[in-house]
Amino acid sequence: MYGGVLLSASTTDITALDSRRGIGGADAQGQAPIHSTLLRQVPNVWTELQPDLAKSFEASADTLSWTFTLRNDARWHDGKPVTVDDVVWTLNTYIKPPKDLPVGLAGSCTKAMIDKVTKVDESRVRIDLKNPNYSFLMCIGSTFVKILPKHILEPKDLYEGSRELKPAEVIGAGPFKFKEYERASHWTVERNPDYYLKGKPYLDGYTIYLVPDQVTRMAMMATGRLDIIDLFPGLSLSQGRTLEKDAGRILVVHKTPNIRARYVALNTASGPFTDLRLRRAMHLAVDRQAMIEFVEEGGGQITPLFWPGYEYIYTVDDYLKMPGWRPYPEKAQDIAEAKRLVDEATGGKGLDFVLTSRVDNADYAQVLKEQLKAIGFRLSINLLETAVGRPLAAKGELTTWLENYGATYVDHDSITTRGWLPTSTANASRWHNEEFVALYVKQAQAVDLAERGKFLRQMADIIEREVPTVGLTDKMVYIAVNRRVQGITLLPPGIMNDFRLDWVWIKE
Amino acid sequence: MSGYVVRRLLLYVPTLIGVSIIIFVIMRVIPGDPAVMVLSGPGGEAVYTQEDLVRMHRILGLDRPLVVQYADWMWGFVRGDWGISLRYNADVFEEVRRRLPVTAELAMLGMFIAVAIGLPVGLISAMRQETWADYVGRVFTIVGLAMPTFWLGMLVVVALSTWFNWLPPLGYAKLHNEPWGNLQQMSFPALVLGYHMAAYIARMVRAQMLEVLRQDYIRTAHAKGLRERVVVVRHALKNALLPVITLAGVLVGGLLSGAVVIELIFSLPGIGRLLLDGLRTRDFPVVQALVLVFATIFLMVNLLVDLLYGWLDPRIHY
Repeated sequence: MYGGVLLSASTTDITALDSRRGIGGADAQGQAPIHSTLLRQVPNVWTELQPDLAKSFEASADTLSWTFTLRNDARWHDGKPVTVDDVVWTLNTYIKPPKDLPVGLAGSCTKAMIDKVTKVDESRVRIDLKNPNYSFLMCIGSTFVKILPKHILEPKDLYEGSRELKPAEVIGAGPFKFKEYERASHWTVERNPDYYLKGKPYLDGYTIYLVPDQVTRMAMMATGRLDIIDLFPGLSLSQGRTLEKDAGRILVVHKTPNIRARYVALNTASGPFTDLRLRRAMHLAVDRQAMIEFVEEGGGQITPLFWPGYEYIYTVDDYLKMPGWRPYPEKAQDIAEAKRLVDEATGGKGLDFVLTSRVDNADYAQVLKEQLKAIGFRLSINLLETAVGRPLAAKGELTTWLENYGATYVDHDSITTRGWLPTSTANASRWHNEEFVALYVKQAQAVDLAERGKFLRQMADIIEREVPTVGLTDKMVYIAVNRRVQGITLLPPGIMNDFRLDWVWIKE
Repeated sequence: MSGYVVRRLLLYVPTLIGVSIIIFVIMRVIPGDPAVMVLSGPGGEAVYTQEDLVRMHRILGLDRPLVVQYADWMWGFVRGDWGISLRYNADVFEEVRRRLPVTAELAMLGMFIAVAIGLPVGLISAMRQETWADYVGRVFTIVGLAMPTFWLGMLVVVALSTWFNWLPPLGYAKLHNEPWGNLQQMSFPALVLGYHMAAYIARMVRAQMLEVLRQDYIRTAHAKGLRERVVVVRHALKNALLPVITLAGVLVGGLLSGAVVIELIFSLPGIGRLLLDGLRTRDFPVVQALVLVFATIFLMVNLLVDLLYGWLDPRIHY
């Protein structure tokens, strides 16, 4: 028997009723159930797509042009039909926003990929790309690329003063309808009985409470006040174990990898790390297994440029055989080689430098400081808030910057475009490599996965060779779910996920 | 008296201008670009270009000279236009107006609990000096002083869930809509805040009472054959309360700062949490406005305390 109201929590508040402005994780979680996209992730399978508002699509031979045919039974929550005009207006808003301002994450990938969007007829829309792009479909299928009601939003100026939507204007075509929002308290949606996927959603409603404190969230789970602790950041291994021990009768703790890159960006344009030997030495000397043991409490994974697990690039096992990534006993050889490189580059004096890190990466910085002593690196740690460090790093004012980023859509491009290309705004290492850029273009245009994998491997090899960034590790994430929640399989947490949860229900 | 009040209120004007300049300058000199926060979002995931950044600086008015920015803000502030929150794109005045009652309720409940506990504990400690009642009272106050409110708050949350399998309902219940739900949500955070303050008050009451009880006029009151209760309440306590009220005025500042953390732990949507979020995200219109609001509250409470002196001590005239 389907139904029930799902009670979830978020660590940060939803920032806007107008989904074009909401760019945080909480906004993704809150807005997704209300909206539809052209394509969407297959529920519970995060790497595959299925039709959503578009019932079918086809590509031109050169994959530059994609034509989507819309379903004809989709309606906005106010009863008006979803039209091709809505799709054209929405995507044009993302790629060419009013006043030329960015529209958050929806603009992140669409703006870079889409050249123009045109109406073919009353049921078809054509999207022309700037270049063929393998990750286009994943971008268009991400929950951020919501199709929005033109008749409601077109008259609203996105950045005009404090103008916010009225509750009746918060509409989409998705499985749930907006019901209530109390700032800093909760966000509630209710079942859309006219949803085009008949029978769905299974839930009667879905409420996200803002519970910023981790201890409080855990207590709320243990007392049954929450059904899902949160979809990110989730729990650490020890917190997951504690909760399972204390309240295992009412909840289960799911384990999932985190799709995130954590790395130290080394400034290759100025300072000591213009010397490749020193960059390489750091990469070789970092003991990721120890980091997993101590920082991730034994529940972690390595974070090379491309998140591992894809057979067509490199698997975790592949990486664990590579210098730098490999564990002991081979690690001893890597450290000896690192020491030799440092001695050669510094005349045996070693190197003093400041490791600047995000405050929330302080544990990693501390472990690095200890590990790198062995090769003559003497670090002093400078912790900065993300809001402070990122602009400095982006301007190339930091020698090092210990950073982490999550994927915004389910493709490696989401991470690569952020920090490793000359056009990347977060290129803290100031690294420009023509060969890497050329391969990036080639992989994006590849239509065959095996071919794309070949280019991606070459890109990964360049990173291993040039070391603009030193990949580190990340936690496995543990997410507590009440046993009354049915049908859920938790995916790697991240803002790129489908939060619609229209396939989940509550066993009363 | 009214002349005194007017003079004090006029003196507050330069004080508040000083506070406004300090917070304005601090928000401009601390590292962190508000435009970056707007563009990249709280998690920093959204990608933006250098051109976007320049445009956002222009939109937020950050490209103007500091003096112009300050004058613009102050002129708007006195007219009730407190600016737009960068994080929420909402009117700051409206946001503060919506959240202030939560913090005010928490602070008032906290102060009520502090006085209701602190006063009798201090009194009993002083009246029964060096007895087991005094020892218990002193341990109670020392523990209250030693424990930070955030830690006690977390302990309360864990204890309630572990021992009683109960926590207040989620989703803020407004006092006028759901009084019972509101009481459940407010009572424990107020207790945590109040306990900490009660410890200060109890210590102060005990010390003052011990001093007053040794005065000649108390001995005279006893010699006149007055009952113990009359001596304590009418003669001793009233005189001992003057410094306690001064302390309570200062503690209001502590209550407001304590509310910042307590609101976070108990998920209450007050201005304390708004300030914390504002600081983290460089939401300078919010932070500037809230600091001025806090300063104004603090000044007003101090004025109230001064006026209470006159009521408690007839020798004081304004």
